[in-house]
Parts: sequence; C-alpha cells; structure tokens
Amino acid sequence: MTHPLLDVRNLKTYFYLRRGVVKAVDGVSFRLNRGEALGIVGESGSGKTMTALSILRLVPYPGKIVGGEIIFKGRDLLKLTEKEMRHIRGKEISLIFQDPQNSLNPVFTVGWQVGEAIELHSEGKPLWDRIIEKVINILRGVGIPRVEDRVNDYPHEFSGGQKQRIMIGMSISNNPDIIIADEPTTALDVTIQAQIIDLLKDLRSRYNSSIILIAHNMGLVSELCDNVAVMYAGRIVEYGSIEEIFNDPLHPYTRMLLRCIPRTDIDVDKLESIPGEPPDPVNPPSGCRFHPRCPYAKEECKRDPIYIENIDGHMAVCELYRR
Amino acid sequence: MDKVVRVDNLKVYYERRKGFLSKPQYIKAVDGVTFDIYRGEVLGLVGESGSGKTTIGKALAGIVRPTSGRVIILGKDLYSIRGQEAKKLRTKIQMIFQNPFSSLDPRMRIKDIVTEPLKIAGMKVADLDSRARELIEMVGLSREHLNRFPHQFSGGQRQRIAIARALSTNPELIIADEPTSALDVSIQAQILNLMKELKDKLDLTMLFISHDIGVIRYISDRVLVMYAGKIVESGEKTRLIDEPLHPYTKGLLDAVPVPDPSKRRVNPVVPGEPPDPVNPPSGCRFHPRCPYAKEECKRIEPELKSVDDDRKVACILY
Amino acid sequence: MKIWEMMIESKLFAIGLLILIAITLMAIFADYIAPYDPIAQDFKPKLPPSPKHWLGTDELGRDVFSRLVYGSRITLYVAFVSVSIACLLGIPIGLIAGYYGGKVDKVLNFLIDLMLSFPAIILTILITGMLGPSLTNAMIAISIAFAPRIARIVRGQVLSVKEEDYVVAVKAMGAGGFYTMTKHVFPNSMAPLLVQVTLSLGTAVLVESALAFLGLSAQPPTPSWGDMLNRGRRYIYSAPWMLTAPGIMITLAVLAFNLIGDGLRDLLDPRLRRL
Repeated sequence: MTHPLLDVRNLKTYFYLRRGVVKAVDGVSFRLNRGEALGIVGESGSGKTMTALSILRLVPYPGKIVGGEIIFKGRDLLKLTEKEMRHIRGKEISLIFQDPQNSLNPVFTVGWQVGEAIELHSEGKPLWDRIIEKVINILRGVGIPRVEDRVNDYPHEFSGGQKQRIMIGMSISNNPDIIIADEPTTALDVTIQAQIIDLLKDLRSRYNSSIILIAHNMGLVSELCDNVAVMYAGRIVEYGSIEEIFNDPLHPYTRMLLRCIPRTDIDVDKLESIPGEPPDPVNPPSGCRFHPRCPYAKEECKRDPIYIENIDGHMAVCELYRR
Repeated sequence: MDKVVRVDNLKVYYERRKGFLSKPQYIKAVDGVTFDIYRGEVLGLVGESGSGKTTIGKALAGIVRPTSGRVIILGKDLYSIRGQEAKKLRTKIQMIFQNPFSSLDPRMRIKDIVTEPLKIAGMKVADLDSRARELIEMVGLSREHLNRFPHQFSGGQRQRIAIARALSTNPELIIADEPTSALDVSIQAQILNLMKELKDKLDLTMLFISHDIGVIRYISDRVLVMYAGKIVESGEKTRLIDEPLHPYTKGLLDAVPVPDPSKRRVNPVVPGEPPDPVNPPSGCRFHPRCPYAKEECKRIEPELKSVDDDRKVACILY
Repeated sequence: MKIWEMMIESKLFAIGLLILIAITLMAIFADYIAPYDPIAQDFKPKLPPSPKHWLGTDELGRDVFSRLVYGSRITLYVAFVSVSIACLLGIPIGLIAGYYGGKVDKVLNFLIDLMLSFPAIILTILITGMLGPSLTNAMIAISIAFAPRIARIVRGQVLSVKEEDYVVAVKAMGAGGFYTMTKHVFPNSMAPLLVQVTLSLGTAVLVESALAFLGLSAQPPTPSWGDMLNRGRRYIYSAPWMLTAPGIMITLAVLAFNLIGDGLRDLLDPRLRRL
C-alpha cells in the first residue's frame, strides 16, 4: 500500500477560554491521497475550519493544537519549526479563504500580490519581469479576461468572483500538493459559485493537486469531491466515498442532514428537521455527541468509546452497527 | 382572487456620488417592476445579489421610498397616505430579517420585543403579558423565555422570536427577507417548517425573499425571478422550477449544486457576471451572458408577457 | 456585568475605581478628615512636614493637608458638573446629527469640527478670559470645550447603530424618529459614550487644575489643587512639599479616571467579552 500524501491522526485542537475548554477538533483522523478531492462538511461549530487551519498550523489565539500527528510527505508537520512550516505554507499546502473581499490587500496591485507569493517561495531572486510573466500566465489560467491590461489594477477594481479567481491563482502559483479551500464560494452568487467550482475541477485535472474542500453546502461537495468526512461537534462521525455518503449514509446525523436540505429538484410536503440545537462546545454530551438529538439513541450511546463501523473504508461512528 | 399587494411599475434608484464634485450616479436597484400578491399565498422572490430583491422587500415594508411607481397594499397607496391612516396600514405589514443576531435589540427582554409592534401601533391590548405568552408559544418557545435577553438564545431561537414579533399585530402581509440564510441547514429546516405551519394555520400572506431556490421551492406558491432590477420570469413554483423558460432562470437552476453525485451538472455554466447597476446593458439586461442572445436582444427591452394562464416571461424567444 | 465582576476581570479598572472612591470619600468627609481649617492662617509659614502637619504648611501658614482634603471637593465638583453639562449639550447634538444625517448632519458636524480644532485647554482659557475668572465660568468653559467631543462620539455611534437591523425593524413597524432614537438608538450607543465620559472626567480635572494654576478658576482663598500648585511653584526650593502634594493628587485623580475609562473600554468590547 502506498503512503497517503497527508495522514492526519487523532488531531486535537483546543481553545482555552475563560468559560472552559472548547474541544474544537477532538480526535480527528483522515487520509488524503495525491489527486484526491476530500470534502469536510459540517454545520457551524463542527470544527471543520479549525481542522483545516490546524493542518497549516494557523490556529488563532487562544486555540492550540494539543495532540495528534499530521504526516505530510513522511514528515510530521507538528514537529517542524516555524521557519520550516513557512516553507510548507503557500508552497506545498495553500489555503483559499471564504471571503475574497478581505483576503487581498487593498493597497497593492493584484499583480504585485500574486508576484509576491511566487517570489517568497522562489530559489534565489528571480527577475521581477519573469515573475510578472508567470503571474500573467497564472491569472489567464484562472480565467481573468484581458490579463495584460489588468495586472496593475487594484483589488477593488475586480468583482467578488474575479477576486476569488485571483485568490485561487495565488494559491496555485507554486504548484502546491494540497489546496485547502475553506468555503471558497459562500460569499458568491450561485452562477459565480458554479464558475469557481468549474475552475477548481479544471485546475485539479491540470495539476493533479489534492483538494480539501471545507463546506457546509452538501451540494457543493457532491459536485466536486471524491470522498467526504462529515463532522459534528469536533469529531468526524462518518467518512466514505461520495456515493456511499449520499446514497447510503450510515450515521443518523448524515442521513438527517441530507434530508433537511430543501431540494430544487423535488417537491416535499415537510422537510425533515433535526430537533434541538448543536451542543454547547464547552460541555459536549458524553459518548456520541449526537445522541441527545438522535431518534435512534440508546443507553450505550451515552458511553465512551463509541463503536466504529468500518466496511471497506466506509466508516461511521455509531452504536447502531455494533453486533 | 383577493389582492393584498399591487406593485405598479416600481422603480427605486439610489443616488451615489463618487467624489465631491462629480455629478451623481444612479444605482438602478429596482427598475420598473409590476406584480401582485394574492391573499393567502407565499410569493417567492428569487435572485442573486444586486438583483433588487431586498430593495423590493424594503419598499413594501415602507422603509425605502420609491423613485417612481406605486405600492398599493390593501387598496391604499403606501407612500401617499398620511397620519393615522398610514400608521394603521403600517401595522398590517411586518418584516422578518435575515440576520437574527442583529434584528433584535440586545437591551430588551423578549416579552418587550415580541409586543413592541403593538405598542408602536398604539393598539389596545387588554393583557400584553398574555399576548406575549400566546405569541412565544406559537413559535415553539416557552413562557419562561419571555424574561430573557436575546444573547441567551441561539440563531434559530432568535429567528423564532423575530417571527413571534412579526405575528403580534395579526398582520395582513409578512415580508421575510432571507430569514434562514444565516442559519445552519438543520436549523433552517426547523424554521421553514414553522413558517409553513403558521402560514397554513393563520392563512398568512407572505413575500419570501431568498437566493436559495430549494428554499423557495419548499415554501412558496408562486415565484418571481429577478435579474438586474427587473422581473425576468414568474409563475407557479413547480412548473417554473421544473421547466424554466427564461435563459437566466435556466442558467440559475443549472448552477445550483444538488446533493446527489449522480446529478452533477453537465450543462455549461452561465458565463460572466451580473451587470453594473449604474449602467445596465441595453435591451435585455441578460443578453451579454445569454447563450441564445440575438442581435435584437441588444435593442429591444423585452416586456414581461403572459405565455399561458399564470406564466409570464420577459424574453423575445417567447 | 456587576461592578465587582468587572473589578475581578480588570485589575487596572479595580485600581482606578479604588483611587476614585478614596478621593470621593475624602471630599465627602472633608470636615472630619481635615485636622485644621483650610483657610485660617493659624500657623507659622512654610513649616516642613511633621506629625502635627503631615504635609507641612504653606507660605501663609495654612495646613497643606487640610487644604488638599478640601481641594478634592472643588476638583470633583468641577469635573462632574462640567462633564454632565457637556453631556446635556453634546448628546442631543450627536443624536440629531447622526440620526437625521443629510444637511443637518453636515452643519452640526462642521461646527463640531470647528470647535475641536482648538485644543481643549486653549478654548477654556479663551472662554474664561472672556467671561472673567470664577469657578462658575471655569465650569461653563469646560462644558463648552467638552460638548463637541461628546457629540462626536455619540454621532459616530448613532451612525453605526442606526444601520442595525433592529433599528430598521422598528422603523418598519412604523415608529417615529423620537421613539426610535430614545428607545433603541441611544441606549445601544451608551458603551463608547461611557468610556468617553470617564476619560473626559480625567481631562476635566487636568483642565480645571490648569485654569486654577493660571488663576482663572476658583478664587483664593478657596482651596484648590491647581492654585496650590501655582503657589508651591514659587517656593519650589524652600518648601517643595507645597508643590509635591497637590501635584501627586492631580496625577492620581487623572490616573484614576483614565484607568477606569480604559478598563471600561476593554470590558465593554464585545470582541473580548466573547472569550
């Protein structure tokens, strides 16, 4: 068996607040192969974004990675120095943010900013002209029209969709092995979202990059990904291929989540809804964290550790499958 | 059928000055829109950002004065009546906002929030406390919640409180502006079910604004599709969504990702971006992005015409 | 949040509050605390500190400690009264300018800018110079100098609060301008105002002392810290206690208000409260 490109093992990222400890990511494990697109889905507070930021070791204060391993190309990222980590960020693993409006610096031209990203990770000091040449190629590749005239424009002169294209251009400028896209289309309109998804698909086939797509929108994940991890309250509750997750979900949370999405393609009389609210992150329920909202919950669900069903890589953390 | 709302050639332009001395530009947020809302129906208003859907909601709620055209609610022109008559009509219209974290005054108790429209309207209610209890229970919360403050509630619960407030005056028209788009899907489903339930129970008339076609399909009876300040298509929801006529509606529906990997999009996506609302394209505003555009689309501004009984579309193809 | 919870949250806020309480008690119970009459010239001039006169006596033979204790009355009185009047003037102006916007705002904002282009101290000297030196005129001058500061804070806050959905919601219910302003906009604009008012109290102490130093505030023989400082200046080498004692008191009073103000700013910041 070949080694995966990225192997996250039992990752724990906690936030130390005055009210107590928030276990934002609490024992998350998954693997990502070269060229694979993995979707991490969950509702707000599920820990999906913190999982992504932990991989790059960019967890904001007062959060801290307190345990686990992140093996990337044979090295544990958690053991690298900050300097070594800086070589990984943007070059080998890059990040696309949710809001393109705020992720470009308004006082520099777009060409300069993309060029800077290239220069930072270049050997020696390449000529600026060569860099700009490369920038133009990249921006053309992400679908910015009339690039030659526009490299010297400032971010506010571009629309939201174009800014996200530029951000994507910046993130692929060093041919990274992994692109982490954190809700890359949430701030965009549906038609623009579809364009960005097409762009990501296209880049993936062109560069054979791996993609981790963080999203709350199940439709988006279904459109782009090969495998899906479903997170709830800091843990992965189900993992499987896209077909397994959407056609044959095992975990009650996944099943209910899929059925509460208002569909555009079918009429329903009444949406299924999940009763109650996500748990208090400081005091999550014992055992399976979904048990207070789960219609199938049994006494055993309140106890740790919870049973893990695993059929050929389709994994669900649920007592229902204990035999 | 009984009309609750009649919107007649509504235009709302916002003035914007770029510099101190430059001459003002006009953002044509809504540019000539005509439609009706009938008693007991939920009219879904769908469109992308900048299409003018929120401005229409505000114009109907009486917060944005139209540049021209009329908003007639219960037979009265909302922007030409004055005094007591205006106040009386205002209480018949209530609004539910998108962001439940900013739509409730953080310094007020829930019981004061849900009864505030009654106080503003000067309506004589024998027992405000019992009305507050009735309202809060109607939206699935309990009377113990009445003495708390907004920050003690989750987003979904706050939206329930906002719904209770909107129902307090027994309104004839509710305007819901993206009421679930700030919520998680599982909570969104709860709120949508609640709104549907209340609509059936209280026979509410509602304008439901959303960018999410799935939500619109679930909650509405009829749908208006807006693009760049104009209505491009309207009709009964199932037929409109299953068999869209206008190329924009088709493109929009195609672009929505469906949570089913066997239904991945195959058609090419609509290219380009929505136009600048200051200088919209001539003719049909969608023509620069339209795969079926012809030469005359640049010249002729298509009217919203009936194609059959309840279906209207603004496109020269029909 | 309760006061004692806030004191636990922020140490500096607690220290500021304790100093302020001490000075306030001193002012209230001056008759019991001061060992001698602050005005009577009963003793030998320029006596150094001793068990009998803790802080020595001044050039006219008055007990410095007693004068210091009574001086706190003037200081706090001027600070609170003039900042209150500044609020009475500034809050409505800020509310009207921010809420109604347009031409009204342009005119009011221009006037505010005009006033703010003078440093507070110059403006107060100018006004007391015109009105004549007295305690009342000093308070009027400070109020006028501070009102635009209050107005500007309120205006800025109103501009952001009036865009909140809950204010739009009230408008959609058909509420009038006065109701919306008093019931929703103003109460939600309080937090930064409270900070500004506290900091202004500190500045008012400083400005009053400066006016007294220049002889433009309370007239002798009324004991005031600024006046004591001015007298002490002349004997800085022969009787340094005359200068040091009021100097430290002014510093402490200003420090107290600034600590409370900064503490409030941190405590009321919603970004920090989330944690």
